[in-house]
Amino acid sequence: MKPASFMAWILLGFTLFVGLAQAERLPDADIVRLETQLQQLDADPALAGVAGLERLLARQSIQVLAKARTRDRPYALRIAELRVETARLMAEAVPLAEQSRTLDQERDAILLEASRRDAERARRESELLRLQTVAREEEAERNAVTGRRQQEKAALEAEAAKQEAEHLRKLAEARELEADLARKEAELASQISADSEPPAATALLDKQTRAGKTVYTLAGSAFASGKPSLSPIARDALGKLAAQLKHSKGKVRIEGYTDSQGNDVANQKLSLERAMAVRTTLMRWGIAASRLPTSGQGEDKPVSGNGTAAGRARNRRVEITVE
Amino acid sequence: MRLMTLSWTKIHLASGLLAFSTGLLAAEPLDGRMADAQAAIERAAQLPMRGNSVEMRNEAQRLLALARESALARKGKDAILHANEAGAAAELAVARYRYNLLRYEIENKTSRNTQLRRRMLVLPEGNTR
Repeated sequence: MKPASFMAWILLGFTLFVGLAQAERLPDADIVRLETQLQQLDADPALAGVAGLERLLARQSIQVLAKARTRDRPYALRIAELRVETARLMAEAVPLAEQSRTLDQERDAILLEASRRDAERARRESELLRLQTVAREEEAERNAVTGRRQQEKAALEAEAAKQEAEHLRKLAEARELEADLARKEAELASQISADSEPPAATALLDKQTRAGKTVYTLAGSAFASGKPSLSPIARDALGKLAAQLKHSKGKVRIEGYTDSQGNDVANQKLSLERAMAVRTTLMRWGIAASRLPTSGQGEDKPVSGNGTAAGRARNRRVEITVE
Repeated sequence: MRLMTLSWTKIHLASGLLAFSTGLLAAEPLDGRMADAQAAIERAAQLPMRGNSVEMRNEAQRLLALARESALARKGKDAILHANEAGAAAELAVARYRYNLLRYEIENKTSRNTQLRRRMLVLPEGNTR
């Protein structure tokens, strides 16, 4: 064999060897599976451009797997699988990290909203407190105004009461003056009557029967106004009464009365003095003093109202009770 | 011996040369591979892993031990293969840890945000803390 021919045979054998070796390393199912996983990873737009180093290492490991000898192939396959899974996990971790940041931002937004609501609530509470304060101030102002008005009203009422009291006082004075004038008028009328036409003696003694006893009432006109002295006609009437009393032995009780004009002490004194004047007169006509118990009753036991002049005239009297 | 004459001696020499060149081409720095794998495992060991991450880290440690045994047995090729696999397993363990951690965080944050929203609904003007 020539040397050139020998070398040709060597080259041919080497070429066949290499070709057979390459034929054994054609992509098999595992390589296709792993490359498909990487392609899917690359096709995912959400994972584009991330985990570049891990993807490169995974591709290199697949290339190593493709070139690995039969003896080394299980190791190469295992390494390729580890690299591909690593690339997948590292790639998928990127959007997860982004999602984690988004959740943090969401939390911050929630807390911010909560803070905003807290601030809003605080503002509302503050506004409410302010309104309540204003309402209280207005209420206090209203109360103050009401108090002032009540004070003014009370002052007006006190002034009105004072004026009313003053009016009543003046009215009382007027009535007293009127009564005084009426009394004086009555006395004047009595004097005029006595002066113009002397009454009959019997007319001065009114005879009544009370509880089986005979009571003679000597009218007030028998006396001078405000004095205990008897008029002459009254003395004549008492003389006739004494003539009758001589026929009996019983007591003859004498009681003097006045109207309500003037003070009580004066009226008491005047009534007693008039009763004593009657007693003295009866004693002069022969009636024993022991038969003549005498007393002054003042303005007690009125027989008529003291509001009119006629009534007061009837109350001014001396009653002589024959027992 | 003539140069162009085929002989058994020449065939042996050619085969030996071919085998040597192939060995040189196939030879990889064993120590570097072992160091890379060791570094990857140490990085994984520093993380508080749980579940399938721990399983993969343990697998990487087992493969590294195999690589060391092979190196001691002067099986350099096997040692490199085991070291490469150990490094890849360690990196996968780290990837799984990060992925699982992110999933856990997302679940927690989603639940947390849901609770915050619920409190906002229950207490629309109250604080959420």
